[in-house]
Amino acid sequence: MSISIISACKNRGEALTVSISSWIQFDEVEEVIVTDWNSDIPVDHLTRLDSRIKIITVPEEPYFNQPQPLNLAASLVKSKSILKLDSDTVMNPYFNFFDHHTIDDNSFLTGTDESWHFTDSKLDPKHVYQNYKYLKPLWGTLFITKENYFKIGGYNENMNKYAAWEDTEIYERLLLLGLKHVNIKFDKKTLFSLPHLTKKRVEEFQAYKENKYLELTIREHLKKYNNVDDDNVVHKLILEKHNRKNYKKYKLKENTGYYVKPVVKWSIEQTSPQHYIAQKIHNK
Amino acid sequence: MSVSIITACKNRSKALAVSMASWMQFDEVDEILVTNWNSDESIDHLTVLSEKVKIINVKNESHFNQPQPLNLASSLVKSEYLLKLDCDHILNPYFNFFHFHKIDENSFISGSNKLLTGMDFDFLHPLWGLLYVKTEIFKKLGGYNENMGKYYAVEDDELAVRLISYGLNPILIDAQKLSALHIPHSDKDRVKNFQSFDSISQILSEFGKDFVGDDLYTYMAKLCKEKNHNVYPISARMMEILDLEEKNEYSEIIDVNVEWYSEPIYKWEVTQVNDQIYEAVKI
Repeated sequence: MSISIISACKNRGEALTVSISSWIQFDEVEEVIVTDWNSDIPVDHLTRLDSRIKIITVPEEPYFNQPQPLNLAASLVKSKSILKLDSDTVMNPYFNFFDHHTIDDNSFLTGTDESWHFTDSKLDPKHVYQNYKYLKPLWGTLFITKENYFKIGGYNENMNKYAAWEDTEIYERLLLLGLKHVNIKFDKKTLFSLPHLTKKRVEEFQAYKENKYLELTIREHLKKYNNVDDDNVVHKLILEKHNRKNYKKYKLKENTGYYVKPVVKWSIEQTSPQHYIAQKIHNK
Repeated sequence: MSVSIITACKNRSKALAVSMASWMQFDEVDEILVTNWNSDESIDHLTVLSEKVKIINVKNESHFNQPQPLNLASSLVKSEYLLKLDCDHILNPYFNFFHFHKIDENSFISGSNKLLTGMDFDFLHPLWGLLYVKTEIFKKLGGYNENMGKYYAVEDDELAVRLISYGLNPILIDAQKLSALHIPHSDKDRVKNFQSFDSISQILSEFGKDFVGDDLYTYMAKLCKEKNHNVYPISARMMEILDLEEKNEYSEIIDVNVEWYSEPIYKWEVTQVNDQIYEAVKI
């Protein structure tokens, strides 16, 4: 089995240090390609952890998004299959993800699962959302053959202003391509996420940084009408707003095709066996 | 603040590589002392993660236990505070453990915690074995009880009881602050390296009990706890001793009057191989 892990990172170096230390424990992983989207503190030093790690540094990008850095990382993939993980998704070294999850040319895996409840029969039934904080963020996981990834144009690069939904959008297009969806076996505990505040989900996105009015309005509304003064609740609502914005615009409609043409073209320079610098090629 | 993390490891290098990548990131942590208890494969390469990491290699030990390697690691501790973690405890880089957990010369934090038994069990309950205490006090008590080693578990509660008997106030881990988490694993991984594993396996097979999958090892872990509780009955009453209220506070601590000092059994000859590697041999 030959697998390339791809991931996009902006100012998540601390979490990435932990997660990448788990990814390199697996022999199935041929390479780990991380796009460092102009982090304040670069993550290029992580290459010393393992010769399979490659870092693509993208300078001068003020705002984060997932599709562009992920498609950039995918463009360097050499393996037959791609596993996209978030920078805080840990692969459990005790339970091998690849022993429990397989895909082929006709299938793909994501964490998209509307039916999940994560109950544990050994525990009190009231714990319906058992391990929610550790497993729910796996929604954005994607395991797919490289061929199928590029057949649909990868992630939708038009989705670069608001956080969220790009994972569900690609899931819908892969179904449209005719692939069978494979669920993550959450009970096998092969993957988990490092819990964090919701603010981390949105804080680097353009819509968050440029529209402080939304945050202010939600905060005042919560205080006035709900007597709630909780920063995490405020950011959960902001995230939901982002999600809805993308949902409305990019939810697949009738006659939508599975292919989306990438927006960005890249000039990539290899500076060492494990380091790359990429810059956008702007049309004149 | 100056903290030394100590941990004991036998054949858990992959989990340790992940957890250690989290520990080294905290400025509060001066050093990480790992006793490598005769693992099949060397873990010396983990020193590349950080200059803070120090590995103490112990050879020719056929079975694992916690107290001896932990006391050995503690003998090299230089910091004012000592944090004992299992080798699969992650300190979450998103939430600083040390911001949420403060101790002084009158208090300690252990994972013994009824609040860990419900929500997010796989990730939180095994934090039970965590201990955060002033180094001076840890050493004054003789550290972990080295008589406990044959059977898995309870050495953490046994020390917590002695710390209470010594006069310290126990503080709960504020687990829902999410500053620490455990990498889930099977119960087999819990018990398989202990001396008692083969004998209990044999007894259970003769007993003819039908177990499916990991249930055999869950049952084995339970037997190990019972064995240790029989010898140290006060440790079995931790939840009574720590009579909890909803607000994560002890409403009442039952009077504990046990000998708080535990004389270490083993003496070590420790040789420094380089800045980060040591070898230790029992005298």
